[in-house]
Amino acid sequence: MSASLAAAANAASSPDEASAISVKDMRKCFGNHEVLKGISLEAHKGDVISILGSSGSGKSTLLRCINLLETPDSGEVRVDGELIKMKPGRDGNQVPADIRQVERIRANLAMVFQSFNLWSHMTVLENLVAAPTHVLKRPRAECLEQAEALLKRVGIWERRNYYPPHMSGGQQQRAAIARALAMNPKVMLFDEPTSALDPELVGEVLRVMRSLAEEGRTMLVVTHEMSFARDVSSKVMFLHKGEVDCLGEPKEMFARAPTQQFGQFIANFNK
Amino acid sequence: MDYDFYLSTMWSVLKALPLTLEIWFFGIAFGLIIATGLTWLRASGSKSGEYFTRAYVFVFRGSPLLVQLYLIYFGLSQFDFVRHSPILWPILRDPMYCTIVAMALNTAAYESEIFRGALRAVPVGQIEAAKAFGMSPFTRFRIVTLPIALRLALPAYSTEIILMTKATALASVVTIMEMMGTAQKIQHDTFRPIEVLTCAGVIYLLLNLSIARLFAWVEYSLSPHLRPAPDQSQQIKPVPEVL
Repeated sequence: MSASLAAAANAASSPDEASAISVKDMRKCFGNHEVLKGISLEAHKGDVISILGSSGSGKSTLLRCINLLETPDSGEVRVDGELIKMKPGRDGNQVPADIRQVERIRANLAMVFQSFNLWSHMTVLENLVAAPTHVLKRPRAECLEQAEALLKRVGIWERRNYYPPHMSGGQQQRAAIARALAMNPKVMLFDEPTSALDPELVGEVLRVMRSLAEEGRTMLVVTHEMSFARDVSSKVMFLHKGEVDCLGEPKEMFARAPTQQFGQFIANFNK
Repeated sequence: MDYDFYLSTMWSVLKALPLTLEIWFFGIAFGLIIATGLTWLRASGSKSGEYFTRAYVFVFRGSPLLVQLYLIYFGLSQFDFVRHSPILWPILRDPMYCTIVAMALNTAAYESEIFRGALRAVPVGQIEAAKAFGMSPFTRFRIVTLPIALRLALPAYSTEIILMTKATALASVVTIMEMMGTAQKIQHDTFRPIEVLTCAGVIYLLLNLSIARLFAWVEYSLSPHLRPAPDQSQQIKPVPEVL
């Protein structure tokens, strides 16, 4: 009953039912430095969008503005058709109008961080159960069961009672991905998930991410892994100096760079 | 060596231990409550709250506890309104209450600084993860910030508690016959300072040893994630190519 009501409400507020995330003209400054200069992004359900760009191009900021870890100065974000309500703040920039709405939307947008950010005082299993029980108020037994299944899936069930500092980076990141999955998120946000890993540990994390993409999850992935962007994602977005330089199908973009900037960018990686 | 004298002194001083523990317990208990309030005020982000706590810490950390105790016990009773107040006077005319008030006010200044430092040392990423998973500020504080900050605060907090144990000896200057007061009386009666003060010193040492052990145990049991990694021999399977 409530699910169908929610679906009806979503359908009413969204002209495009397949839209998972829609960003319009997002701007963000840090001091005098304009990091995002009006970015728009459309992610449909099932899309895997790789966001590429050199350091300082604004790709992480874009991701963090979508779940409001950073507050965008202007622009609008819709998640599953629902607009995140903003209001004018004291300094003229907008601030979230309803923090409860933001919290509810964040619970649908699980994030995987570059530095894992697992809660170090909890075991892996507790890490997976914390948010579902305290945010979604699901029964603990059910969360535990799901957590164990997710840990089996990412291959670290044997480490379920370990504390994060006792695991390798790759294992920690797989635990972090499982923690995100435990929220049954509508969209997953990955912020350079393999950048803090030793080269030999990157593969195990990418394999998990690839399997998520293959089961049709909606993912926004900020990454430097060109092979992932080319082979796994359904769209590639290239940011340059806070603007969308080009956007398209990965096969075409990697076969023939649509812009000079993107050409130089991938040339640097192929060296 | 006069063992009988040692034994009888030991016994006399030990009989004052409950009084010492009483001052100690209520001093740190009320101190903790005040420190929690100060920390909250400081972290709340209000400018006036910050100035108040800074002034508080400046005054109570910057002056000797003995001065504070004298001012509270001898000083405040000089004011007519204190002597005629139905609330203040029953507290401030009693040396026991005065000592507890002085200790609580003093330790709260130190503890609020310890807690402030611990809160600031909680890794930003862990709080950010809690935010990103939709936790409300209260849940975030309860599940992530507080448990991590408590563990960070514990070593410095245990030191402060040990300092307070020793500070209870100051109660003897406002006529309280706790362990130090008792020891001084025996010393005055017998003129044998070495034996008497050695007995008192040994009891304080043993008391602080148990407090230190207790805190070490609490710290150990709260920090399994900071101990060496458990047995890694249980190999985990590599991630299969197809999941």
